[in-house]
Amino acid sequence: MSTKSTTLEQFSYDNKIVRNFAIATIIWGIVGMLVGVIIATQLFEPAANITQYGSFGRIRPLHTNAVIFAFVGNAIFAGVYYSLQRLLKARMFSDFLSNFHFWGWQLIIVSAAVTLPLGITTSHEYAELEWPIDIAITLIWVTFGINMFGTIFKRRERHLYVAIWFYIATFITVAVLHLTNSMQLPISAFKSYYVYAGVQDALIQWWYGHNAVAFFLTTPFLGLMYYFLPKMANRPVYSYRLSILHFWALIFIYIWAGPHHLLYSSLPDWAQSLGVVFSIMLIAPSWGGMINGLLTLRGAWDQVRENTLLKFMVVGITCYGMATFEGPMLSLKNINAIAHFTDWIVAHVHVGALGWNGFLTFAMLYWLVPRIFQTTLYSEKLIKTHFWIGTIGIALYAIPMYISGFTQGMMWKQFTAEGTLQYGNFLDTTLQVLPMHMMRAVGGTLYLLGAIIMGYNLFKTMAQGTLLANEPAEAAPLAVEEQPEVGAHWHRWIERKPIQLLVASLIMILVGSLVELIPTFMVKSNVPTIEAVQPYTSLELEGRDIYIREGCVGCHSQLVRPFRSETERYGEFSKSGEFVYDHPFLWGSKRTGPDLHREGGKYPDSWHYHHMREPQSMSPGSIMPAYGVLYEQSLNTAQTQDKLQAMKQLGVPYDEAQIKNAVADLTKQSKEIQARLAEEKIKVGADKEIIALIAYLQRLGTDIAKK
Amino acid sequence: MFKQFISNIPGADSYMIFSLVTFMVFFTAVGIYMFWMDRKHLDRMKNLPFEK
Repeated sequence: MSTKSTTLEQFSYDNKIVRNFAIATIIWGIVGMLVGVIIATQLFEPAANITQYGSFGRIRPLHTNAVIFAFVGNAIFAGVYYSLQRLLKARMFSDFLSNFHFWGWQLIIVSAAVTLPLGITTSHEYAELEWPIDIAITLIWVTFGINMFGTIFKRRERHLYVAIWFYIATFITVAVLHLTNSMQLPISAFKSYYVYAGVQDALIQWWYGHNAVAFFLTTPFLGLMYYFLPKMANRPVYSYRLSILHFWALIFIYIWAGPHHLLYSSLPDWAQSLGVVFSIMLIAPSWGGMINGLLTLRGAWDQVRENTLLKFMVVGITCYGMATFEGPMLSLKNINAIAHFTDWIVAHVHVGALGWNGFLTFAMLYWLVPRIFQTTLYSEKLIKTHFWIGTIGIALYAIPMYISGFTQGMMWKQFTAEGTLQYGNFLDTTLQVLPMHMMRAVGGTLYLLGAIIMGYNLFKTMAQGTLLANEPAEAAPLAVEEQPEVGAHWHRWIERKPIQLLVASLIMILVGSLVELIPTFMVKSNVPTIEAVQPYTSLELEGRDIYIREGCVGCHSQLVRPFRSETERYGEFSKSGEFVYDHPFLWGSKRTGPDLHREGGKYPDSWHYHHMREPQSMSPGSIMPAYGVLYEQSLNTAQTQDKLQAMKQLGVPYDEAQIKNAVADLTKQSKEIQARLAEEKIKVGADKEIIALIAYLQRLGTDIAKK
Repeated sequence: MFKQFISNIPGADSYMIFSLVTFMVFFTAVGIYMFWMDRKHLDRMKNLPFEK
């Protein structure tokens, strides 16, 4: 049976958009990695925190956003725009939409690069950008979707190759994740509060965070692997059957696993358990992809010896296998108890990011740039250099971080024979791992150097070639009326119908999401309320916003887990009812410094005053940056009333008087703190930001102690 | 060691069984249709990236 007419249609592939995204990938990749090296340096040399705009708390999200959304994001678009056109035998649906997508995405990246150092952040990890940028992301993502589906609808190839399934699943899932995790109530153009609070906010965030890894860093790259690896090795994928199995299994199972980021937290036990068991199951589909990738090279390993691009692919796919084996292991509660909040997680993430995403991107760029520029690569030798520098960089990054992670996890839990904490001073555990942090910075620098070499090599390649902006192609159009295929397998129904594929993918991801999210929101007993827990005062709320602005959550958790080693060190373990007014939650994911949930009342106000100005004066050897500006900047109270009003709208029980007197109450509490500081011979204006921050820190975790 | 892992998960029995059933049903269903897939069709699909 034939569904094609006999006349061939002439058309062309748009290579210009591929070039644009490729250039953006190179530039943003280098920028994002450079910021990574800077923050790595700040983690052993606090003097590298230059001005408030360059402090670790503010630029750590800049690094993560730059490498995830700017570097990897642009790489995805470059690869998708190249492969989609060829797999569908059609030019992109609309050149205007392609260009709108490209420039819109770059504008979003620039907005992130401006707002994050300014401290404009929502504090949700990998979703820090404020609401106007969230709307822009939605608009551009929809543009991408329309352009992709428009191309699919006008295609000249009936069947959708498996890579396109991964692209479709990526599109729909990222849309669902982004919309759900961006539900915010705006206060102003640059400030909003999440509509979710505490435990529920944590679940939404890590449902998003985990699946951002799944559907932004994994599924699109599997799609790219299924297109570019066969092209590079000049042989088809090992098993098309396996690709189908692991596609459906991956998108179905991945979405359940988010709660493994919240083990031993205040999240209900049943949700934690579901997260664990589905995380363990994830090994199967993840390794399905890895095995399919590596076995594609069976009988062609001699090519790997000669072909550096294949070397990049092999290391990349192997790193994917390592990271996806380690992920389920880390989700086992016993292992998580030691690994969570430590550098182990940083190592785990970077094996995936540097190996899988980075190396696949590098190989893809080396492969497609000379093709669209009708030339050969400028220097093969430089590619080899890049490969080895990059590989050594990954090893030098990951190994010290693993050692650091084990060390931290063990030291935090070490008791003496007398039953007291061996390392009662948290700082001892941080100082112990500083040499590892230094080595990590060396590893990161090598990796960055490799990327710079690639940039040079590729720009020279572009300079010596000429862009084939519109690559001529020809293919027969699809017949308008499709005849039913006698005896065809039913799955072909879905392979040829992009909308069915989209809907089926959506159903797959919604099953797990709804099972986990709905009960946590609807069943009251999942978050037992505690009567003593009261909303923050207006000053504390402003202090909390400073805490968010400065990115304190990047180094300090606010979640005491129910371990003796933690209750001994910090105090009573955290209860879900304590976070009901926390829009957003601030549990954090890493402890470079100690947990702060029971910080309130632990030290006098004066301790915080001195500590924030010069951390080393109170904690000799501390790597925390100094926050001198908090002593100079006056607290902006112009929006205080609006903030309380917004919180009230979100269900925080402020009464009308509290909202009306928000600023007056704030001033009164500020003066009380000022007076307490004056008793210790500290002179400071009551309107300074440090006062609000002290008020917040002194409030933390104290409600349950009230009678 | 694995016994210890499992016994440390609260409510493990019901979640394990639920997950195992979901896992089995899902993989069996996908496995069955994969088994039925036509080899010729699969060969054509896996060669799509090479078509000019």
